[in-house]
Amino acid sequence: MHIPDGYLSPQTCATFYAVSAAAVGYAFNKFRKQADEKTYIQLSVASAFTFIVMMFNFPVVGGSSAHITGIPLITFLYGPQASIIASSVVLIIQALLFRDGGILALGTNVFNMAIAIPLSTVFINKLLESLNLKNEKVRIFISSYFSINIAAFLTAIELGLQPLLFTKAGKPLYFMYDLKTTIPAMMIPHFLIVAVVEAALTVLLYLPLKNYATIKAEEKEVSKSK
Amino acid sequence: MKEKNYKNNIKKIFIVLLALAFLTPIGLLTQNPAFGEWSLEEIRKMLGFVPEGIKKYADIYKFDLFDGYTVKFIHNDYIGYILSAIIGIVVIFVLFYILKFITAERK
Repeated sequence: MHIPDGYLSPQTCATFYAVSAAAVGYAFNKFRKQADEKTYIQLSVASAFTFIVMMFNFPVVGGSSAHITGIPLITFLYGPQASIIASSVVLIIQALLFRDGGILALGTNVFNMAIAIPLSTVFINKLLESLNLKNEKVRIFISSYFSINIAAFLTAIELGLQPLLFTKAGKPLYFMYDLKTTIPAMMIPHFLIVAVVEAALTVLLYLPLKNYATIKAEEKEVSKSK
Repeated sequence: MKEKNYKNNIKKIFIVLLALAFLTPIGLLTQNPAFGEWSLEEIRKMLGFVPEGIKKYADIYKFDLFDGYTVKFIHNDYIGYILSAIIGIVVIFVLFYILKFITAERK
């Protein structure tokens, strides 16, 4: 899902840079107001966890490989704002240090993963709550599962639109396969494997880790009232 | 009491992260490239040519000391991968440490 440089037109890259910068800026501003010394350490832990989880590639259907993100988990543990910041930092480091995902494509990658996954996780979870789905584990599973598929779908659309929008003398200028290819190629492995693993891991780890995630609002109240 | 618990938790988290770092070479066992993350050579093999824009922008960013989670002067992929994991984690912690100071000043 880490789009390299050259796959997207400069127009696409610029658009997503603008959107992502605004969203991350907004999240950081909101986060900063309620942050203290500990929350920054927790942010580092969330970030480091996401970073390392993404290094475990495994083979998937169609002769390709994939990895999970850990982003739904840190969203449940630390909330959407912290999750957006932590995963954006991971994507920035991956692009700058390890050339995993492009520099021009960074805004798009941040949008697909660091913004879309936390927001859709929270949104779907809230939606299920309002539909009276009481079982927390089922809610966590469903919202993590769909958030990953949403990220994969966004990537498929962005890549698949390139050859439809940008060609020169009948040849693609940037990414070469259109939506007919990108949607099945991205969605089948994510729908069947990646999102299932991500959702299962989120459910398994959320309850045991919840106690370590001291960023929770109630505890902040306690420490402030002292 | 809470403070001590917290410190202990941080210590545990570091141990887990370090353990995970040493396990990352498991992620190298698959040689399959991810869909849409191909190198120029892989694209040339698939299409017979490399689209103009991809050729133009693919290597716009030159820093390649840790290219693809390897370390340039270390020729063992597994060791390079573990080192990359540790470097990444250290950079993350340093970055947030700096961020904390910047935002504290602004308050």
